Amino acid sequence: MSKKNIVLKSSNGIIFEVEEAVALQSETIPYMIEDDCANDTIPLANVTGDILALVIEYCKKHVVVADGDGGGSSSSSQEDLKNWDAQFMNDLDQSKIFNLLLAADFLNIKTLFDLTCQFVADTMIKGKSVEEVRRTLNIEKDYTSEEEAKARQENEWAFK
Amino acid sequence: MVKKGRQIKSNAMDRINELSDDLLVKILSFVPTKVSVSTSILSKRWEFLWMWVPKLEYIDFEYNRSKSSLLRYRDFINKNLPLHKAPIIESLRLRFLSALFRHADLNLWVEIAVSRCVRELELCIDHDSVLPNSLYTCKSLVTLKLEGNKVRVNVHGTRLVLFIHSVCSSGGCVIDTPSLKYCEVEDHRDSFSYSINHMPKLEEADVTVGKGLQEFLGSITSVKRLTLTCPASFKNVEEFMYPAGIVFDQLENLKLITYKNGWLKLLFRLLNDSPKLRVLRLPVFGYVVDQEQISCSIEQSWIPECLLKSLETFEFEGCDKGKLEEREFLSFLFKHARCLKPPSFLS
Repeated sequence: MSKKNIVLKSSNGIIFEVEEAVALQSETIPYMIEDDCANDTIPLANVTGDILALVIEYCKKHVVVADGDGGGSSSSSQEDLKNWDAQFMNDLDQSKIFNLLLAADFLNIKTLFDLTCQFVADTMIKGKSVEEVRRTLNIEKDYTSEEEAKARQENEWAFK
Repeated sequence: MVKKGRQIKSNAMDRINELSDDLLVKILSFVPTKVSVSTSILSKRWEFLWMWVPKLEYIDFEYNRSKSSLLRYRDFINKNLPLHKAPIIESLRLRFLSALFRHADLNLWVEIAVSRCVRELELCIDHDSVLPNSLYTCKSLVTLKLEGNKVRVNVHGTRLVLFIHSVCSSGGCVIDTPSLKYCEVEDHRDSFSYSINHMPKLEEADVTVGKGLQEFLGSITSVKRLTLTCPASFKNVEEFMYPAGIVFDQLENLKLITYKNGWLKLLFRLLNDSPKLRVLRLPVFGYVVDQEQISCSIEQSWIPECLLKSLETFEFEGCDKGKLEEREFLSFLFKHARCLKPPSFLS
């Protein structure tokens, strides 16, 4: 069976040609193909080239290769993939992480979406003080001191 | 898309403020409930975000906690669970072991979970507790984990289906269900104890248990249809044998499933005890004969009443029809069963 390629175009006009199996990890792309919104090139207006490159890198690593028996097997072992995922996320700066999260959500790639959510939860929220979380996530404190004290009191269980 | 008037460094940082509430809730579903609750004081936007998270775990370890801290824990659940905003609670894990436990609280918590289409419910309760009936008709429930010394399962309908995984604790199981009509119990634990009260209205039972078999059979003598499975983990059916003296005087339809040799003795006990049996089904598939040959000759000095008077249908389903046990039984059956319709072999 000949391998079909799919051409993706980022919001800033960068073209990527990938194998169909790689692209189809996105649950959004099949709809775009069906809708015929692109016969040859699928425009991804929400994803910039650098982020799309990361998405494709992830999808290539996670593509399930069909074997001769018609079943499927991953190209890498689960353990390898886990290590690879961890390294992949660790190499990204915060801006890329949030953009990747948005791209994974838009392209509906569940494993990548969960991976980025988990990474944000683990590295930016869990085990951090309120002040640290605010700083890391650039959240502006819009409570007055009284309001904050009240919210803290109402949810006292979570702070003990 | 970057908001105006911000410092340049926040270009990247601002992205989290661009994330929709849905995405933030998704992120919060990856932290423990206690942590997600604590995000409520980050800013006004975050105040109620945690209440949309569809997974909840209230699993404080209460040992050595002060009374005020335990009260705070209980009151927090009582106040917030009814107000939880997620339309569907995918999973609820609750742990409440302290003396401050109240039945009304547990009922409320479970009722709320049920009303929100809970899929996974895990309860760790150390009190004599009865779970609300709505739980047993909850269509969304996929997994129910119960932990604790005394959790009472209260059945008001006429059907009971119990599946107990091998990793479940071996605590005693008390079944007191006098109005039950259908009962299906599959228990994979290695050791356990049962106390079962008689079920006089029971019509159909499907039983897969090991060591508690005697208690079970003694309580379900009114059944018309019985499926008995000898678990694959048993070395041979000898272990599965129950003592004489139990009579199934209504039993018409019996299916015996075994994976091991030695079933003949058990089958004869059942035939002797079932004088009205009309249908016998034996899917004796794929078992392995033990190294030591067990004696399987039919030491039967009398012919079971059902063979002489009632047995009409016999279905035999076996991979290997050549085994000694099977041959012995078939020749005995065809010799003595007087009402039998033409035989049926299913391979």
